[in-house]
Amino acid sequence: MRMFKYVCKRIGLLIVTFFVIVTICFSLIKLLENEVPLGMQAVVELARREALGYNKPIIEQYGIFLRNVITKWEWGYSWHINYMMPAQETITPRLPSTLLVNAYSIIFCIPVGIALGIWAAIKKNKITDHIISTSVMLFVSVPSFVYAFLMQYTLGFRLGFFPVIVSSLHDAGGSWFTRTMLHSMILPVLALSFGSIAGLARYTRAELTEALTSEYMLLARSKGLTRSRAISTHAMKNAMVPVLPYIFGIVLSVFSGSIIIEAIFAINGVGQLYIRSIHLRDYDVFVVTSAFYTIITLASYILVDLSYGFLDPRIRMGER
Amino acid sequence: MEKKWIQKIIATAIAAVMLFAAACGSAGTPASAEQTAAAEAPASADPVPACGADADPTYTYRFYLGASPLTWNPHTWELDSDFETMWLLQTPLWDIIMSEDGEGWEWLFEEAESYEDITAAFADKERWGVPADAAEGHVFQINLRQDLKWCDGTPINAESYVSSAKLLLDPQLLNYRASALYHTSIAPVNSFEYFFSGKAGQPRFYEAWTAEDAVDAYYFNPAAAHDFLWDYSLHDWVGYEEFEYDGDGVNRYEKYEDLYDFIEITDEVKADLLVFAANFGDDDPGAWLHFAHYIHGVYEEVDWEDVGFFVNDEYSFIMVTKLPNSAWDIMYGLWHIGILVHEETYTAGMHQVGGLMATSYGTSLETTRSHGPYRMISYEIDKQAVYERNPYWYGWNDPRYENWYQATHYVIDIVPDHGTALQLFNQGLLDYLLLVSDDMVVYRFSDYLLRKPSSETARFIFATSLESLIALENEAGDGANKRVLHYSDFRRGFSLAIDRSSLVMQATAGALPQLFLFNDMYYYDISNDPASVYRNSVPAMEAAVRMYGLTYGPGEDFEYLEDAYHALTGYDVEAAREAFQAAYIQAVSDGNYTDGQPVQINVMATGGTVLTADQIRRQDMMNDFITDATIGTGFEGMINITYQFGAPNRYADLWEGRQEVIMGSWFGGYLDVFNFILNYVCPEYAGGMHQLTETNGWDPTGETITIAADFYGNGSETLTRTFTQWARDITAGGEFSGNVPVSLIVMAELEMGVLESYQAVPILSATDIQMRSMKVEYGTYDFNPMYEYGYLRMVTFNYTDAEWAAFVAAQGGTLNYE
Repeated sequence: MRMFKYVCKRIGLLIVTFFVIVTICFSLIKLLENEVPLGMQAVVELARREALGYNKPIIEQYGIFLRNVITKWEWGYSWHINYMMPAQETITPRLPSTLLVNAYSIIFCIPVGIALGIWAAIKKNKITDHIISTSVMLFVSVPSFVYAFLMQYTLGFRLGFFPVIVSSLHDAGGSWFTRTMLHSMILPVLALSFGSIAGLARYTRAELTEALTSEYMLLARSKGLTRSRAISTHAMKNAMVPVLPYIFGIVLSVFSGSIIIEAIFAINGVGQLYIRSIHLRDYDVFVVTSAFYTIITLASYILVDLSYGFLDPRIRMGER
Repeated sequence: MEKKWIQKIIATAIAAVMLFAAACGSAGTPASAEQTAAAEAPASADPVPACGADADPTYTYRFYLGASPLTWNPHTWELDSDFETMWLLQTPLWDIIMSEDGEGWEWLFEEAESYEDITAAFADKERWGVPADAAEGHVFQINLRQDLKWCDGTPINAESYVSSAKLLLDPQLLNYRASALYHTSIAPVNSFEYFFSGKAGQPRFYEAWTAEDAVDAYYFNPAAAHDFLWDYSLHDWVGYEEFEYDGDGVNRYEKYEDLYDFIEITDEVKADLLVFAANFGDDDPGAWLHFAHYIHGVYEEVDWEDVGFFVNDEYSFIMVTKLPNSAWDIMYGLWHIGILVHEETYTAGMHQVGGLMATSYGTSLETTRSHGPYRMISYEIDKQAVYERNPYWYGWNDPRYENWYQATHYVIDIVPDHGTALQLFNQGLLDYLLLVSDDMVVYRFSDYLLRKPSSETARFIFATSLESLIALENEAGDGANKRVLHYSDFRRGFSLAIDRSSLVMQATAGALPQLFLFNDMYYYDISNDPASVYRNSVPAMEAAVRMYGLTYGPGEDFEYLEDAYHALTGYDVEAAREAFQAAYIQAVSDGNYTDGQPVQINVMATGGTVLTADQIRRQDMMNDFITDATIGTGFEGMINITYQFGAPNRYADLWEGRQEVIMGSWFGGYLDVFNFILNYVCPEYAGGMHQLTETNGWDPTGETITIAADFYGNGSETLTRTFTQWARDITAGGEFSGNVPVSLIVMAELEMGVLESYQAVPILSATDIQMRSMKVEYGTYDFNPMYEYGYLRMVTFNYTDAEWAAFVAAQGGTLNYE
């Protein structure tokens, strides 16, 4: 019951927070200057803005916006990115590429990151650990677009192992799951993965190292368990408790696009959409994209928090 | 239990990675996009019947853009990227092509077979307001080909054109490109009135100074409620606290803040307007008229039947124009307008959004119809558009088109990053590449380099109103001086300090140095003389040489005018120092500068979100130039120039005194230089004083200029008129319109008059530097602004797609264009 109340409370807070953020986004984008073309084009453009209600007070525009969302599920229209497309629909054609590249990256980085973290923890203070830890620091420190450029130039352009851009659906035969499409996604997947692998390896190593030096490990060994048995049965289990929510957070980030990686590999993802909506003052697209990310982020926070309770019975949500 | 659970997760993840690796790992050497597409035979998503034309061999031209086009609806397109998509899908009534001898250009009738000026024989002159004695120039009959079809096989006839024109001018749709028809010299009778039918009954406001007769009442409106006004608040006009409040302590800003309708100008309003005018440096008691309008009739409700654009018979339509037009006017005017749309698709996409009716025509594969040489077969937002030959296009069966449009497919990839585009080009996956200045180090001498000059001239534009500059100083609050920009000598020194040749060489990708408002692209009599380049005309050269103080003739610096003109660089450090010192002495004398005071000049370089590397380089070079040119003057070491970014309305900011200097540019309209000067000096043409960007501190409607010429055939005489009036005199309907020799002289004097005000300092002419791939040859390598390099129409291929893939592979997958 307490858990139920806790979840309801969090959802209630989510709705309030969502509302506040959307309100702020709506107001801020409307406050930005909007270019007026020179010459006679200005006549038509200004008349259009008048017709679209852009000259009304912001509070009134916001009221109209809320009314349309609530009564008609109409989030407005794009005028500067995808002409006359309902704002919420500007996201959908861009989601598959973002989802796929991120999903492949996660599928790749989780086992590799965990494995490296385990290996480094087991080989603590040995050459293997030093190599892994140093590499981790390097990949954590260097932004992903740096590897992206390097890999694109060397593996893609110079050596010709991979295409330098992600394939279009047309060139890939009309499917996201053809060999051509998968092949073309390898470079961006790798570029997105290195940072996550490094982060995961670092986190796993830290947690496992702590677990390995705990008293219950000493007890397990003294009971006669082999080291590998003790690690897999006891240390790993406890070390993974904080790591799994971290992984869960990574998984939820599958919806988020990377602006720079998408630009480098010509991926038509959502990352580019967000920044362009600000630059081009495509008001409704900006608001709907903000709303989309806000709800994803807030929901993921709740899910991650709840996951602690499921993963570790000692943690009880809603307990004082 | 937990152990198994964790193991399962890890095992699943590892299995997934292995599957992914297995799926990708065997891909081997990357195939080109064409090879891949051919191998996997993608199904066409085209809603129209398959064309079945030219399946083998294929010639694919691969182009790229930085972002997807917004729309390729000819009525609403806005961006260059829109145009790049649109032109493949439509054919104009007529087009300009390279002449047969390759030396010039000529008209090619395309969807129109011919046109006739039927004014003399037109029976309905009275109804359409055509003068009874008019023998030509008002009524034109356009005769269409009879084999025109949409890409789905639907025939195109005169009714298609007329219904499309009706949609273009639809008062509900407020189409972005409607002004191309209603606001030109070839505007059909009542087209303007029809477009604004939504305002029927409302008064039509005109700027006060355009009134020819006495006016009973004047009106004011600071907001976007009218054609000639705009949507900026008054708040930013008011630079001083002392200006913000009237005598009663009422905030002037708040008084007009929410005003969206015209109000009558009372004495109280007039007093406020005079304060605003004073804020621009204009203390004239009549300055309030700059903000005033008067009512001249009302908007009327006009039916389409009353617009001079109607069907004559099945394959011809008639245009009755409000103003008289020459053959050139009609051909040039209609050449520029995309009228024809697929009515059924267009209206099916219409949807009411708020108070605006709009259509989704030309925004997706489903909403796209072609009547041009190509049709769209695939469109992926922000990724790629693919076109193939439109089998219903008449040109494939017209012997005149033999050897044209060799490309069987046209692909536009969206590649936002330049470095990526460069790699794709070098891998043979693009057939075109736009270079940036850094690329020129490598490709400067490439055989595949092409220069595409633009009519665009970039210039520094200054706010020179002392009040605006003082307000900016106060706002900055850093003790730096800006008011020295008020002095013409300072700005002249600024101009003379710039080594434009070095600047374009080191900080642009092939731009050309520019001293004038108009570059070599502008023509003054194109309809009669295709070689009438304004810049090469004697009046233009004479005025330019005079402005820079060069002399020519026996015993002078140069023997011939051309020599003197071509010797102009605009770079003279000594003269710049003299000008700076003169400005220094005057500014100190006026109390507007104190010794040792830093001068901070902020230049709003772009509305974008970042400065490019080239812009940063230009900023650094400008600082070097100015530092050098102020050595030994009172400003030595005191001036700093900072390029800024992020102001989308920088032109308005300048006019309203929010910015002291901006980078600005005009381009287009190069076939009629006389008309283009209107953008600099004629408020009613530009859309109001605020649209004339040189007017912070300079008023072309009040400034006069004296010009000597043989105006009336009675020998040389001098006339003094305002800049605005002179510009009106040489354009359509003006006193000297059509008198080319006089117009040329006036034009040259006007240009130099604008430049000598030093409100603007031109620095460079934009030039696109591009590369073509080894796969293709262009129709010509002599650039002509009328047909450039012959466009895709004349592109020929050295390789089929298959041969090209083999060729690239044989080069190791990377081509050398250096």
